[in-house]
Amino acid sequence: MSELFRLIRNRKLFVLLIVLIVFAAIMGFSLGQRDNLTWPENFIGDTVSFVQQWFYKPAGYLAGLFEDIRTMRELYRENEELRTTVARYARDRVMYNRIELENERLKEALAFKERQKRMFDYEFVIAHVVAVSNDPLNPTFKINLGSTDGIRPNMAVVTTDGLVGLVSRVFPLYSTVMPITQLNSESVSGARAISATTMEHGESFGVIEDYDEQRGMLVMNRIAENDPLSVGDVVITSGLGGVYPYGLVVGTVESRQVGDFGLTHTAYIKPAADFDKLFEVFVVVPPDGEEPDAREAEAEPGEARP
Amino acid sequence: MNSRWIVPLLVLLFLLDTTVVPWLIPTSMYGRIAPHFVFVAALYAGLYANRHAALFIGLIFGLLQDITFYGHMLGVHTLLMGSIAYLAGLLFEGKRVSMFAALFVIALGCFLYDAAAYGIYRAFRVTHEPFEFVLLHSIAPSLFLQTGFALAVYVPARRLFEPKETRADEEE
Repeated sequence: MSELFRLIRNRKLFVLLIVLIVFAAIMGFSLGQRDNLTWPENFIGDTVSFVQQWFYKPAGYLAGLFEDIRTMRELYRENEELRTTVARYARDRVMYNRIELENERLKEALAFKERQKRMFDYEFVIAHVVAVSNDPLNPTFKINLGSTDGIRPNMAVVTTDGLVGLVSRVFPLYSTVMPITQLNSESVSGARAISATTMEHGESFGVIEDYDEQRGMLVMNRIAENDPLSVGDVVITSGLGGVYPYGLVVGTVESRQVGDFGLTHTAYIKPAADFDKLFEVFVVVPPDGEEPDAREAEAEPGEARP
Repeated sequence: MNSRWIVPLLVLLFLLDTTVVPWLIPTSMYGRIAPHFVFVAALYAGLYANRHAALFIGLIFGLLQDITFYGHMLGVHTLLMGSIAYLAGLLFEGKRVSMFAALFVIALGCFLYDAAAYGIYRAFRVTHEPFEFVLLHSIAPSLFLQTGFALAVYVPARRLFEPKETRADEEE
């Protein structure tokens, strides 16, 4: 016992001990969900990002320029591909217009309430990436929209390819985005689990709650044994979990097998979006500034989707 | 060079870490190589200036990184950058450190930093990958980048951080 007291009397060791305890407390405290940050955090976060934005974009353009010169040969092939895509898009557009009109008419006929009609009127707000984290285990990036622009934690962030992540922490002018590669069913922080379905089979259901770093794929669990989900399907968010809005592309199914406990199936999903070298992303803002979490209570897998 | 250049240079390094260098990393290595140039500078400060300078550089830039990229939690980088740079200063301050010894210490410090960061994230269940995987996936490639950077800036860094008298002694 006297040994211990003598150790504590050593001032340096005592300070070290206190520092460790303080940091452990800070880490634990800052781990969970926090809607409002304190003013020192806001001040430092916004000031640093304000300076970072002068560097990130020009660097990106320069890097892109060299990339462009290198990939000049591929342009022809890419052009060809885009042409076919545009042709397909034009055809789909015609169909879409027809279906949308019909949808409107049917909604009128069924006397949809205004709130129900506007349920899927998501606003896609463009945001520029200003900096990326240099910690492989905390790979957040910053976008130039913050709480003054109506951004709140847990809003989905997408690129033109698909879902990228969730808004993690919101500063007044900037916010951090946590990519979906940080999905982790054990963690209290990081991205939230995605309740998903597929484009091909609207009735299938699964929960994407993990990311397998070693394979570079998302893991979709809790798929019923008789679920029609099959390899090659395009996975989209189902909107049932309450966090992610309906219809955002997540990726494609790579494989499907029996899960850990043998009762349900597990699928590996290749993410559709690239998580590196991002310029612009879109934040999906739900209508009426509805809280992304507000609808959580309604979420039940068995329920029919509107 | 003058010591009043130290702070702007460190700020510039921090900005390079988080904005320019990520663009230069090839796509296949993205998310695996992480530049920690400010941390290398903090270690140089510990080796050639004094441990208090190293501690302050580590704490301040660690805090900047923690808050700017606040994703999971705060404090990891502040604690690790501060303490490891201080430790390097405590062990080598006032000693003559040759180039190879300096590079070795920096490599060791970077390894310790990444490994300890992994340990903290693992303890708070933020990550669940096994250590062997993280070691090969991100720690080892980052280590090469950091050591390469340390080698590249060895001469200017030493000139910047070393007090004037000792350098004069050496030249005589």
